[in-house]
Amino acid sequence: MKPMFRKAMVVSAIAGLGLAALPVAAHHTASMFESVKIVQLTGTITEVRWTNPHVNVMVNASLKSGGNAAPWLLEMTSPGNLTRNGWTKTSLKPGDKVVLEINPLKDDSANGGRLVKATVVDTGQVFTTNYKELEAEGRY
Amino acid sequence: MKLRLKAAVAALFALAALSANAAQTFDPKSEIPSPTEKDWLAISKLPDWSGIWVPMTKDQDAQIKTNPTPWTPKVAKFIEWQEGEAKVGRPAPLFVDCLPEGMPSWMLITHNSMEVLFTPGRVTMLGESDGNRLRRIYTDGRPHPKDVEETFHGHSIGHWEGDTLVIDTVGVLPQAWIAVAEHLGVPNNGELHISERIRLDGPKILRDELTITAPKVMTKSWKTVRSYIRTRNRGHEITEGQCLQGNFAPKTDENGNEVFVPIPHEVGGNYPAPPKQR
Repeated sequence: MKPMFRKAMVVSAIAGLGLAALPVAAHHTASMFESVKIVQLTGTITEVRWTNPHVNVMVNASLKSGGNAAPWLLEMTSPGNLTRNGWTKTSLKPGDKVVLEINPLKDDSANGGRLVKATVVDTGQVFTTNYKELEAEGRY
Repeated sequence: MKLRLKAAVAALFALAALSANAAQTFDPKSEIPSPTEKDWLAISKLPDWSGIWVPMTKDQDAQIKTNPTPWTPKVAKFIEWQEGEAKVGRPAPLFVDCLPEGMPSWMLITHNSMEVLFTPGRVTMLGESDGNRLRRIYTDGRPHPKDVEETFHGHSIGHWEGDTLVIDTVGVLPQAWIAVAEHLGVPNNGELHISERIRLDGPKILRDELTITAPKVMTKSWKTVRSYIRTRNRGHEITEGQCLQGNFAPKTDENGNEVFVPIPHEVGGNYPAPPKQR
């Protein structure tokens, strides 16, 4: 390998580590979330990772009940399931002001959760993530 | 009466042709025959399984209680422990390595859609989410190989009984999970055998009746049913899903090349959410 390329790879790896706040979408269950508890957040989207097996968004948000804005990491289902729920990869974009409903992590020591419903403030567009509702309503 | 006799003779000839064909197909030195017009016409007589099949995940969840798996006492204890861990938010990391869900877990617990293709001598199931999530089910009359190479989806042979596709699967890797949820399951540990009967139940539902025999982890064969809902909405078509892609972030490198760089992750599927600060 040419030294220049080796250097480039090391830089890339370090840059990758710099993204420490970003999630990783391992294929896993949703049982780390409080499935019946809803927490409301208000804030601004900072990062969207439209990728399998789980789409993730980062948001700088405060609890609707009060408090300071802080980074949150929110997970959803797969791009395929979201698409069938009416989403596109640009439904939420960095910079969008949003009102969110989430199922928080059962482990309350982190700012994480499962995104259930997102309202984009400027457009009023609403996106939901519960694809299981499609089955119940026979919307397919 | 004459007509019946004719039909019987025709059926006998068809059977003879089929077994001759099967014998040819199975000879590892023989060539895979080029499909004939007749072969393609036969495909047109099969039931219509076109469209996108979406798993009924609510039913998957419900079946954990209504049709429990006959786990051995040792496995039952392990499953009970997994249930406890999930309740407190520490779910067992069954599929976080992004290896295929494999058989029978794909059929049992998938949350993603699939499509089914019919071609002469084969039924192919293509799924979303894992990379390379596919099942090849040979319907050309061949038997299982004597010395089957173990894979995540095993070796599947099938035949049609009327409108029902009957599938027999062996040769699944012992490491492949038998899971009833993404956080509940055990490796099959070997000697796994799966038989399936798949058929349409009305125009919009596909039912897969599975009989799973896994002597290393179950006390008896387990019969269970999984259902899929058909959608023909173009917006619902299968998307490519590479599980491992989630472990990388896109970046432009110093040479201007678009590359993926690995991003940190925690084993167990709990990604590193920011610490609580509210």
